[in-house]
Amino acid sequence: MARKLSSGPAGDPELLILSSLADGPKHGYAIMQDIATFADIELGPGTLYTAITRLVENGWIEPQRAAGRQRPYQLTAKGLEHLQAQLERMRRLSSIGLRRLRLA
Amino acid sequence: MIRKVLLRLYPAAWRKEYGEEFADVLVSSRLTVRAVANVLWSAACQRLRHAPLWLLSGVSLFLFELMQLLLQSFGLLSPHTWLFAFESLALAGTGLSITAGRDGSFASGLAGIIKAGLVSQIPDFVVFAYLFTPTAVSIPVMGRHFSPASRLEEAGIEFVVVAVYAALLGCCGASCGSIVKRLRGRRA
Repeated sequence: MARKLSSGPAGDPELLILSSLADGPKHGYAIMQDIATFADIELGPGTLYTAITRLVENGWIEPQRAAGRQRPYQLTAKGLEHLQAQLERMRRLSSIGLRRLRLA
Repeated sequence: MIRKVLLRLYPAAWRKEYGEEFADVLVSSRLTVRAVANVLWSAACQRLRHAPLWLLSGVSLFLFELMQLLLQSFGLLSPHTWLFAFESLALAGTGLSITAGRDGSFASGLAGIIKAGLVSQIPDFVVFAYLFTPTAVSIPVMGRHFSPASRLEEAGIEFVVVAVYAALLGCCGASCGSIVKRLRGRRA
């Protein structure tokens, strides 16, 4: 059972969607299911499409040709760069936090 | 049925771009109370993002006017010139922003101020509408006493003053916007 969306960098819908698209294009519902599987977080349909709208406007993802009613999205070069920078920042923060926890 | 209604809550421009695929996601998802609330919130956010500036400004000033009316009617706030000055500045700023915007013009700025002004004055219009009902009694609003006996006079003065004031303010705001746009054009 997936948890509802939590606050914090790991619960950021935009980052979750970018991470979901990192291994290839997916359509809306597939993104929702993928996030529920890898992050154990249940994104609501409204939250998903609010974030998709923003990501498209920022040029971080782009729609591909529609297959029926479903339209897959893929990461752009700009989106890939943004995702790498965000994940790197999170890795640095978590490694510092974990190291300090061990010292405490 | 409920999915169609939920989709209709989004602005038309958004539906044109994402409508079909969003409908597909709604059909595939379980519509729990939480999911419906999530869609309602998202639709409200999209409506806000697609709303024209005059409407956002008008609704904000409407709420401000309503708050003033309520507080002053209960004697919790006395009428101040700065409240009026704030509203005027906000309206002029709206006109300036619309005129100086990408597709803005003097006419659209002027029209924007008038529309925002009309929306913001809805509480006053409601007071006057009440005064014209057969059972209306005299009411103190915004430091003034409005009575059914003098309703025609009061409403007439109010509308003439508001119209003249909005036109003047509109011309000022739109003119400033045009100047800003020209200055920007010269720099570019």
